[in-house]
Amino acid sequence: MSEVIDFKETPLRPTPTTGPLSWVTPPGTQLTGKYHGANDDDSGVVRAHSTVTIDRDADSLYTLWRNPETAPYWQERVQSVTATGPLTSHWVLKMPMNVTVEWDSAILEDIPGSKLVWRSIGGDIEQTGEVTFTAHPAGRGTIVRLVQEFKISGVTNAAAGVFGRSPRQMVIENLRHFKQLAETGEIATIQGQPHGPRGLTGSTKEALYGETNPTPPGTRSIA
Amino acid sequence: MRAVCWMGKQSIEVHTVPDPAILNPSDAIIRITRTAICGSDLHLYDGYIPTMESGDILGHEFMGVVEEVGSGVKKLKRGDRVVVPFTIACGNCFFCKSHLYSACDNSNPNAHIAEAAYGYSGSALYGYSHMMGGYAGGQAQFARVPFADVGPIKIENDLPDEKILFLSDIYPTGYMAAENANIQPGDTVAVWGAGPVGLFAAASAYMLGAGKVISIDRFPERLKLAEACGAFALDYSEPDLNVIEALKDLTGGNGPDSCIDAVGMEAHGETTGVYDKVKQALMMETDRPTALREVIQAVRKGGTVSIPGVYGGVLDKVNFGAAFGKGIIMKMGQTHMQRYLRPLLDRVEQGQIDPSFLITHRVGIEEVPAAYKTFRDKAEQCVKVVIDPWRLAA
Ligand SMILES: [Zn+2]
Ligand SMILES: [Zn+2]
Repeated sequence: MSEVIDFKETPLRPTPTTGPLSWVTPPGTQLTGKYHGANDDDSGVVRAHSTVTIDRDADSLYTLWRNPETAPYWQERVQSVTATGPLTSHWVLKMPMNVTVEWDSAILEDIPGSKLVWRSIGGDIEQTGEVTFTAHPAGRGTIVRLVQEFKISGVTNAAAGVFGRSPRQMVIENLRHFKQLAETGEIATIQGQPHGPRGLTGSTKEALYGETNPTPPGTRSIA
Repeated sequence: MRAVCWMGKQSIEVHTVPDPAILNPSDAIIRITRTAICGSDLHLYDGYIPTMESGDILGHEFMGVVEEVGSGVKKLKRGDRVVVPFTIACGNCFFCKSHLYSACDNSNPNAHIAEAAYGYSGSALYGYSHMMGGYAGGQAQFARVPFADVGPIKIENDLPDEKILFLSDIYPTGYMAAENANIQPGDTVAVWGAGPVGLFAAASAYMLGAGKVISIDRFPERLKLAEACGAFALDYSEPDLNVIEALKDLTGGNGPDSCIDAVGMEAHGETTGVYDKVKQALMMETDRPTALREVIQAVRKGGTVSIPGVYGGVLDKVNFGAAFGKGIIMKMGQTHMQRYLRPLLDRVEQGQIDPSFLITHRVGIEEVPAAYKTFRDKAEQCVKVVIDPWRLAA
């Protein structure tokens, strides 16, 4: 990997936690600073990560991320987020066929302007995540690294299959949407534009390319 | 509205579809007054560009009048006359700020498809496959234009549409090809293809100081247009003519200082034509790089190869040893359109060039499917088709 970015400063794995989510970092695991590929073991844990450089300063990006109530503007399928305390929030995810997934989330670590770690504390989904904001060494904004881990239940997994976006891809797309929102104020979309008759092949391709996944609104709904 | 739709390989139909609407704050809706068929649309027509969906509205060369603007648009208002560049760029990312507009990070909603194919996604384009964003194109009566403050250039003169329409693609694309050719005063520049991009590249090479331009094609009407641009016309279909030898003779034995491949992936080839056609048919190779092989072979030592011709996928049997052995420079890519609109419009306003010189066909929107075929077959000496989307019957 790059010589410029010191991964030891921005660990890929979330901070170890105890309790029901001890699977996120097996005991004794040391951060090595090495590149971690996707894990495909059969523990039911899916790990996803993505890195982007955003042409904004770390403080403003941290502030945008820190307010969970803005998440529906840029995270896919998030219907609502309600702050339930200074460190806790309640999340509602709307999946196709009216499947609703709800959980509570708690912030475990909060370093203003540089890092947030969270995990679910009950509900339909077990997940944990970490985002770090590091100044780009050449002054090109902020390097944002996102790591998320999900323990996928049978039900959620089936639903994920239906909505055509794997949890791993969803993490990548969400960080892309975050960057678009931060840099341009909106999220690129073609949903709602005209087209001629799609027929069976056109419709199949549309679903296959993930274009039927609703694009988060960005500032469209607030402008 | 009426719109030209891709319905499958070599199947183009005109359909009535809903009018486009503002979807994001920086969008504008343009009422299109003139649009055109581009040589690169023929790659879509022939099914060489993956990720097209039946029903897609084609077209990326268009201009018109602003009909409506989103709440975030500051520079344009209803009634403004604009030309729209074919690359969609946000104006705010690292790439846009570095004036690499066709590498914009934020305009492609389907960036993941391009990432899978190319590693990273470039900017979105109008009407040019879902890998490139899936945006509805401009061979229609209206189009939605995202990032309207960044793309369209406002026209404040009364020049007719036909003289400024080609700012949307082929004129800047030919110009950037010449710029990428690294031309020094007095240089000899050889241009493969005397189609629209090749012709603008030839004309631009002179603007940038070339001493001699050689245009290579096989269609007399195209070679005649190249001559009108001041180029020496080389007909590669002449019996016993070897292009490499001819170029050597025409350049005092050195070879051209710069070679421009304005042909791209669907080259009509001689030597390895069958090999490539078979591999292309079997999808073992997507592009037919006959012109590319020739420019690499022909260019002088330490010279520059510039590639505005479109390549989409995987090439086979490319003489990379020749490229390395001669230490050549290669530059290529989609045009960074937003860079060129103002300076190239200035040249038109000052009368340095009349870009309408290559128009051979003017059609109404219902005639577009037939025009695709005419253009593809280069029948009726067709070089460039311009469409009036409001003229319904012939
Ligand atoms: Zn074009
Ligand atoms: Zn951009």
